Amino acid sequence: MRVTSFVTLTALGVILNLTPCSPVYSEEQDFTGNIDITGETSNVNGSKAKSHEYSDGRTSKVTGDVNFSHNSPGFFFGFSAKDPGYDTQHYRLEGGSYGVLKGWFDYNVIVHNVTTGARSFYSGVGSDNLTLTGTPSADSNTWVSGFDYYTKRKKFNTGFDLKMISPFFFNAEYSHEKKEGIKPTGTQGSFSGTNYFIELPEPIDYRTNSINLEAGYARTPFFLSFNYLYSNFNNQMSDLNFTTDTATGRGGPNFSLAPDNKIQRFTLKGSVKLPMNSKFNMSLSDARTTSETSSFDSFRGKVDTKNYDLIFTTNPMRFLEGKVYYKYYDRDNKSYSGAVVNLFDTAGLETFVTNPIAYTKNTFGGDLGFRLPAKFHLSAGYKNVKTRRKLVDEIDPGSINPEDVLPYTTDNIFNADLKWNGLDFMSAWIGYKRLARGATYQTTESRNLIFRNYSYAAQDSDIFKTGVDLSPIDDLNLSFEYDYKRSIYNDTLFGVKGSTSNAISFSGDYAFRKLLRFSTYFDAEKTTLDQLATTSATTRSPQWKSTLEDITYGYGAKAEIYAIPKKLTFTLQGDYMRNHGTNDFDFYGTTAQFLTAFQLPAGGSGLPVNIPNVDSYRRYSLRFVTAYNWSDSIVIKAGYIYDRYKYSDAQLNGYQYVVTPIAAPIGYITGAYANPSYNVNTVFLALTYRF
Amino acid sequence: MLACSLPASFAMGAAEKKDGPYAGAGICQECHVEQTKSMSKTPHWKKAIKDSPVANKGCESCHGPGTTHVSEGGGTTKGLITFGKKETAKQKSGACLVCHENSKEMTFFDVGVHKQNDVTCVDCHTVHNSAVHNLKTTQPGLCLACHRNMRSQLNRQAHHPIQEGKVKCTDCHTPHGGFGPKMIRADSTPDLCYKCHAEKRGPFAFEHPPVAENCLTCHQPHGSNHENLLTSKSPRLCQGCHTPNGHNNRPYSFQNRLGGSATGSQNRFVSQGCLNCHGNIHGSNRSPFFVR
Repeated sequence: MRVTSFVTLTALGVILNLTPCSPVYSEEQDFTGNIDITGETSNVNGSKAKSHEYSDGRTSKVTGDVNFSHNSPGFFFGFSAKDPGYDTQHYRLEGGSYGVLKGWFDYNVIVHNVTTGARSFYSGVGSDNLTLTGTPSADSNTWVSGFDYYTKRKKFNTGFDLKMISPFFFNAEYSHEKKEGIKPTGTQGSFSGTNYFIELPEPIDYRTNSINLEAGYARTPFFLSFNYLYSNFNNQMSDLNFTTDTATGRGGPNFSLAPDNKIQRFTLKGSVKLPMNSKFNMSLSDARTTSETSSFDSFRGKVDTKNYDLIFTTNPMRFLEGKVYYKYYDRDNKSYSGAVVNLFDTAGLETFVTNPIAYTKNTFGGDLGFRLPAKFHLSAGYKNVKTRRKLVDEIDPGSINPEDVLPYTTDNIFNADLKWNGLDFMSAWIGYKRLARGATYQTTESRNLIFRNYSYAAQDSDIFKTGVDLSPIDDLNLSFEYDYKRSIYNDTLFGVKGSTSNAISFSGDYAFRKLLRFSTYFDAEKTTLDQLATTSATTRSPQWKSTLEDITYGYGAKAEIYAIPKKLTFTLQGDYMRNHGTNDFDFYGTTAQFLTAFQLPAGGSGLPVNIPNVDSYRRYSLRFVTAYNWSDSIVIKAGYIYDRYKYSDAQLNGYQYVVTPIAAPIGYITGAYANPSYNVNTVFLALTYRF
Repeated sequence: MLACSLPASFAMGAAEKKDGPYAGAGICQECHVEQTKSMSKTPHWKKAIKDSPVANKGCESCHGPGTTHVSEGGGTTKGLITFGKKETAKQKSGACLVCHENSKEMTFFDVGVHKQNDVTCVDCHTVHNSAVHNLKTTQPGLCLACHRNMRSQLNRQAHHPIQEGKVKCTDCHTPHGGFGPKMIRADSTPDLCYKCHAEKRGPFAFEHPPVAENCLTCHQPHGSNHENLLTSKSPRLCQGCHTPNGHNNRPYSFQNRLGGSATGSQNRFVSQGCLNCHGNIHGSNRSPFFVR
């Protein structure tokens, strides 16, 4: 009813006020907009999915955009339509009455093309039932299913914002999203008693409905709001059934899909201004998430989440600012904890123990800012984060698998930043941040484990940043930034031992009178990740070390040449992006141990082990556009775009659908992410009419 | 009671604190034709909004009293807020917050990192036109003007469709200040990600601890060299934690790739790596090893 009233009100407003534009600046009405029509055709060599990753896959198309808006003293109305009929379409209708009500309808589609031309020996790809008669053929060319990996989101959103009751406010929003597609997943299965890894096409058919209501009061010095969120996720399929032997105790021929779930959250937010330019702010929320599964009779998912934020800010003197804060976040997992029996295991023998994860984070800290002479600004802060992780069944923690007992951690974080704005044409800054994380293991058994999960392990981390902005002359802007980060895990024997990152970025732009505008940039980053491992659960000396290195850089330039000012413009743009990823190894101990442990072929010590290509790629883009303003209302654009992407990775190069290291296959894969390289030539012609 | 006891000046912004008489509505447009013309199309110039500048002191609502400026023929900006370099960040934002602080979006501006770093309203907004939200330019270019280290990440081969215009920085972050870490629009990182990735919410019978606690343990939301926005590629990513004995402790070197010469039924890293078997890595209702 409220939506109907809003539409009626808006339409009435438009009808009453849809009159020609009136002159100049008096608060009068106007009607503006534009219509764009673009025709383009492209020639794709290589991966059609990667070249159109987030766009419609059609290579020849005519797209149209429409935007118009109407403003009157009392009402406003707007409509936009982008790419109607295509996978990137977006529509928005909004309107309302100034100071009274605002409402909108929005429909948006986001496509993500992952891989085209994938294949599977299963029938029924896209459904929740993958079937196969007999065993998979070793010749992937005979496989029965060809399909694409992709996802498509279609989201409808509507709502209104009631302003007429100011200083009170009320707004409501509803959204419905449908997500469909196929994504690659993997499982372990067997055929004729032999185990294989099998890449499965997992169907996606989700619906999410959400309602958000908010009411409050906002009039300085007070603010108070109450928010209610309800979101219901529904998966049209609960399991992915696939043909495989069931005798191996791997969970039967059913792959569990995302369970239906619901979340309800209540949030109370508020603030009050206090003397001495101070303010107290708070946000308190309480949420419950529940889920259902058909797998286990006894399991019901239930997690309660509480979050309390309290922040006090002050600016008592011109040169001093401060903030102190406290945050409490608790994930209380009330899901069933204990043994469950897999209902799909017909023998009824397969039982597992669930492991609901719960944790509590307590955070407090403060920041101080000082405005110093000569336009220096110094700020410094400290933050302490204590995280207590637990398994729900803590009656006898010693009985829990020590690998499942997660440590408590305490983070001490310090930061300091100094900025200088002493010159009109220059500003510079330097900053440092340090994290010192301590980890406490809850049981003797977990403390004595020789490996550490790096996300919980003790860590020392340093971040250093500096940069400068320059405008030495009018219309010339330059900026330079350097970032360094290092993390060390000193208490970790095996797993991630350390990582570093060095990054620089430069950008500049220059305008020469009204004839030329030129901009350029350069970004580069080098990252390393060091890991140690052993082949034994008890040996405390490392047997191999891995160093992953990514060298990533990109640069580009763009020139806009105003050949005939306000009439004819040429735009030339080029961009390049590259990543060179490598993975080097060091081995400790004897060569014989290494060969035995890792099953390299005899005499393999002379073979290359370092990986020269880990997600290495190069992307080139060149575009040339001519824009001609035929009149104040009509613009014609024509252009050419060249895009090239070249990808190399040891895990995907020389792709085999049937993975066969020696005589017999060990796995079946479908082509997901394979061969993403492409080059594309595109020409387009566009006409814009503005009114 | 508390409201009555608070000094009125607490609620006053920079513009109201300026001294000097007001020149009066209408006089500005005699010289500043273009500015007032463009202003007329914006909500700031709608009398229907009772707190709008046009319903109060016009241009002087934001720029402060202009009598001196007018009497000297425009030769001085004394007494005015020009939103230029001579004013402090507090003065510039204060002029806007006089009205906009009375809103759910702006009331927590003091809490945010932008305010702490002297980012002002006019660094992103220009009130003299009717662009969407009066932004100076569109996202992500607007945000990248300062957050330059993000540019490289957005350009990487795996990325959210931010450069493509389908996801905006402000879908996840609130530039006007909020309670979430990194000014995200949620209490925690997983709570933010679940807004779009509701299928990951669970709760699952078998949970993967880092998934339940922090998506960023494995993912880089702004862009990555590795598919699915991973921080590094599997199997190395998984081996960061999973290094005890078993098939997960092997180096999976160049010899173990597709077409390599290594042998052994479990000694291969191909395609999705560990996820070739452990496909339900975000949580499972069937297998504690995430293979079902």
